[in-house]
Amino acid sequence: MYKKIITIRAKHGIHTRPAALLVKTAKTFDCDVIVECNGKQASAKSLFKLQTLGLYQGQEVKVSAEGTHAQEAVESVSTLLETLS
Amino acid sequence: MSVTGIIGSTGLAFGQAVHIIEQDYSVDLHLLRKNEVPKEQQRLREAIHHILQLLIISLEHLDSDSENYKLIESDILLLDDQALLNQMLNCIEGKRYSASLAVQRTFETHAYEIECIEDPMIASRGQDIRHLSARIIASINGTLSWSLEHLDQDTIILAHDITPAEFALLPKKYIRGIVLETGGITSHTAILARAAGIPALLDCQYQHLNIQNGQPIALDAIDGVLHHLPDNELVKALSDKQLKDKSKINALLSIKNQTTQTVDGHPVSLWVNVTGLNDVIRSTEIGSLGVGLFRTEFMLMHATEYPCEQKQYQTFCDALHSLNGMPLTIRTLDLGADKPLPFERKVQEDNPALGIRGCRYSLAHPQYFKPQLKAAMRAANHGHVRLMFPMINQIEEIEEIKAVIEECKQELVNNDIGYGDFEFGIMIETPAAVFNLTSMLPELDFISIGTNDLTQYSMAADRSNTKLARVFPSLSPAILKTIDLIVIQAKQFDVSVSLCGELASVPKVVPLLVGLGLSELSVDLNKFLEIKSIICSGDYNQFQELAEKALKQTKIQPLQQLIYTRI
Repeated sequence: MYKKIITIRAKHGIHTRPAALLVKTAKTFDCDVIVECNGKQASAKSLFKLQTLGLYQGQEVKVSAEGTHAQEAVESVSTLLETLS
Repeated sequence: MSVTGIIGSTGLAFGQAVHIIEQDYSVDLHLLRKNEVPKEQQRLREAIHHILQLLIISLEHLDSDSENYKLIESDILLLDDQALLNQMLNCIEGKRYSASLAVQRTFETHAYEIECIEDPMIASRGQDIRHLSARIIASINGTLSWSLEHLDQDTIILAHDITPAEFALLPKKYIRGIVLETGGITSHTAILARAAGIPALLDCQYQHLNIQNGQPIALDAIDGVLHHLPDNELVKALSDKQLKDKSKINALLSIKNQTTQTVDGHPVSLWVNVTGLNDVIRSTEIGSLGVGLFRTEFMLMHATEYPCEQKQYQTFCDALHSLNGMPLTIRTLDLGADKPLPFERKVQEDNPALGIRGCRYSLAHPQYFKPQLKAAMRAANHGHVRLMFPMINQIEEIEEIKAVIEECKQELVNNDIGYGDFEFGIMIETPAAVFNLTSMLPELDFISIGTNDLTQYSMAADRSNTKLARVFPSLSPAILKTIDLIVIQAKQFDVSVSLCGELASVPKVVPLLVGLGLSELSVDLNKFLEIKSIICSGDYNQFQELAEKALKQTKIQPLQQLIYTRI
């Protein structure tokens, strides 16, 4: 398992549109990518689940994955999480 | 048969009527029997599939960088989400919910969860989730499809409302016009229709016309009328109007963006007189730089009851948004026994023109006056508002009005409602007002000369009596001297003075008025470009010379000859 912890910088948080971008990125990988925040976790491939995590500015988020290209997937998703505005 | 509406996008259209059906958002609360479960789950899958198809098609018509595209894309991702689908399928199986109930409960819970998130930007997305839920339910109820894909002829759409996503779906090839029961000129649909060049009529109550799908209708979004089953004569008249409108405007539109000033650089603020929102929109299309007179009583002429403060506020805001920072001169109700409200009992007056009218009427009817003042004062937060009061004779009336304004301010503040800064001005339309100018001017930001009433009251000649109008016209030595006096005094007090009477809308008279020193004119919408072209092609020195000559005339006939026969 590969994991990484990052902090959300986006001023308006990861609301629907940035979250959609995140989902599209996660879906390009075979392995599942798990996003954890506020004690809740969700698959980065599910917009439905991601929306309820509360990914707003200043929140610490753990991104993890297991399996094929796990490291690459975690890097892509966490980079997006960190840089989206 | 015809019905009026607000022009959202100007133009003319002919075609068959097609109703976009009202969507059914009702939720089926019956619990399922076990053997009904698989069928209901299938219903849900099909409903979602159907919306997905529609959304994917609508994306094809949109720019992938547009906001609309991204919003629709998020909807697609959500509808395509297996976790979401499973939760709803489980609801149907486990709780024996109907498909619509499963959707409603699942989405409602989801929306609530999102709204509980502390970040306001994220929390506000809960509403989008509910909208999507409503669309799935409409799809389950079989009311989402519009059967527009089979259109093969010119069509005018009739609908309660159209969202931007739905607008994107319209097969533009055959859509000639749009008629909505809802909406205002600043609504999304109006903006999109204007951008697409599709004539649109909004806030149009067409139900009572009983228009059937496939019947011919004509949309006149030049004058704001929808015609049901137009006969050949009407179609021809409308086509002629369209051609005339186009050629006339094209000829003059070349000067639309030009600054209004004389050849030697003397600027004139050329504004328009309007009676409603449609005029305001048209005024911006021809390059007017503001509204010099909004006759608010026309908002009431066909009303069945007095429009509430909120409705008037909305109208003023719509006008201000269209004007985009340019001034809106709101003249408060100019009513009287000769111009009664349709829902008011008629009052008998021997001489209504000299009776309780204009501001006298407003001051006597605070139940009408105060909501209008408050609506205008609140709207002043959204743009440049000039409040103008008709039929003022003396300083006492101004003091009385200012006291009412103070009361309105206090009432607004007590209710935590904000208001903006506005300019305060009056109409000059009685001889007494002219003689009292020096005492009133220090209290005013602007004055506007109403030549129609000024002539009637100066000449003691009823303006509706055509025989008298010919003998006592506005263009006469007495009125000219009166205007000259008003302009001179206003300038001494550094108060801006405009002329909004019909005299300013007579193209040949305009050089004289500009020559008299009037640098603000508010004119008839249809004369605007013609008058602008006269100002732009003239010389200020010559205008001044003309005014000097005109002021020396002692008789009407030579004065009119001087003005009207000038090339």
